[in-house]
Amino acid sequence: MNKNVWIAPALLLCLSPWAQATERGAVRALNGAAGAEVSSAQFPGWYGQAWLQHYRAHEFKDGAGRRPLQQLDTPAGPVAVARGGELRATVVVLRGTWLSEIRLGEGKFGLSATLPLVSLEQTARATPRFAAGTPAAVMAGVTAQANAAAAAASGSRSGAGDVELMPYVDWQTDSYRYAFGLGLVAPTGQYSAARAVNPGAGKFWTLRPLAVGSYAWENGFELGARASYSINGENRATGNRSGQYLAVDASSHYRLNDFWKLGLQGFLNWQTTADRCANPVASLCGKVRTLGLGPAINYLSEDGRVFVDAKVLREFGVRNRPEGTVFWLRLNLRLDE
Amino acid sequence: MRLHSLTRRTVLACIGLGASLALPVQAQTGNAGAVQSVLVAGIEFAPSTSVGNQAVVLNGAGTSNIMSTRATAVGLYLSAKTQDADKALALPGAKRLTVVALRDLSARDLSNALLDRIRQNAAPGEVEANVMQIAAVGAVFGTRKKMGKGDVLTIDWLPGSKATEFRINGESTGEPIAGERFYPLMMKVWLGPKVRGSTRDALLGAEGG
Repeated sequence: MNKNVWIAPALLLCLSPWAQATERGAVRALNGAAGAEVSSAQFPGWYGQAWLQHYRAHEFKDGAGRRPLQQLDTPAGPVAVARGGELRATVVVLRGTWLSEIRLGEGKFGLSATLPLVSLEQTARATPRFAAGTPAAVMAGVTAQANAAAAAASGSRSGAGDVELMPYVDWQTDSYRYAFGLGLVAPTGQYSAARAVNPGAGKFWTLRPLAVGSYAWENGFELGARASYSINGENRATGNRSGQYLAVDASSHYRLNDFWKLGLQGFLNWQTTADRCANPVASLCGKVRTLGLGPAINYLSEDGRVFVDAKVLREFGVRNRPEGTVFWLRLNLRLDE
Repeated sequence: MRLHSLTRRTVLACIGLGASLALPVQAQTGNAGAVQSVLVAGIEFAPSTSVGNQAVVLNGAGTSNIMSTRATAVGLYLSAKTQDADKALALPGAKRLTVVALRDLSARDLSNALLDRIRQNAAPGEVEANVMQIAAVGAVFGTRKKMGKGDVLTIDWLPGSKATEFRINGESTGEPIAGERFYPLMMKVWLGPKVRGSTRDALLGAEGG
């Protein structure tokens, strides 16, 4: 048996978690999507939304917020392997929303359905750092294994993601708005445990309670937040069960005039319970955390039928995930009269 | 009778509407001590008008928002001025609410917003006591798709017939809605406890309103 073959599983351990299932660092959440519409009036009717997200990350953070560095014991002594790479994701999100005139108390019943169309490209790198005097044969072997592991963790894939259905009840007044929902995410996206990247998060369902709250002051400022908590089932493809996580999108905007608003948008995604991994060697099983912050600009047409916003959010405080920048360009249309 | 041109503004100013600045201010009428018109978001509300054969005076005017969206400019005309909402509701004589669209508003949305505000601001039992009248509000906009920017909705209390009459751009929208207890419900859409303080204060003629 080649003396370097044993390195591969260990390298895969640190290279694989980029964009596979949720239990490997990705989450089923559109971080930073919800914005000024949360603090805007929504009347009964049909709405169509087409959102474009582009995400790009050039580094990965481990559970301590550092760049991952793994020590491997070899016959020639310990070798540190630095992990790096790049992740690009372009997502077109199609969402339909129906707010009915059906009253539950003073709230109105609504339903939204969301389908992400995902294009992922992941390039992983593993760079061994050899101590002086490491035999050339060991260096060549470790480097070859590292390159192979990086190649195995790299790939690109496009396809439909997982569909979310979210029934909710919406209360609105002159000044504030709040809503509660209970959503379900179905494993409709393309997924294979053998692939490095997948449009779907995995073969599991997610139950997702939702709370939305916002307030608009008379001086033109408004504040809104959308919080959901995701409870995941077991991924039938891996036997793993992703931990639960809180996802919050919050924004504050100022109304420049009847058409334009400027604001600050942020998001938080915080995994609260650990993943349960059927095979801990092949999965990272660390808790994910990411925060993002950036500027946003919004336009609302005079007849209220067209809403457009754009924002750029830089991630920080990341744990067990890639850290990058997300750009959103979103179009919301009123479909009925 | 839409307020898109200067000519139309002038015509409307004569009956209580018009155009000028974004905030409620006293218009320059020239006569010191005379009752002045009020300018709200480009709309001029005349100092007085008549409902039926009765004269009414402008009690106050302001903008009405739905969340952060400025939707309408509203003027309240009463038989006598008051800064007390309860007194305004109980005041005898003719009354008028003049509602000017500041942007295109779907008739369905406007109807929904009115019904929501009625329910949110009504006292216990008021909604139940006016079920037929509230249902009739939906029919007010039944023949139109929208109120365009500058369109004017007037909601008049006619004490002689004890009925509430809706007109859009001066044209009646249907038979007046009978019932003495209904008009206070409509007034509470802009004067009720869940209404923004700035809107309520403006219609009550409070300082800065």
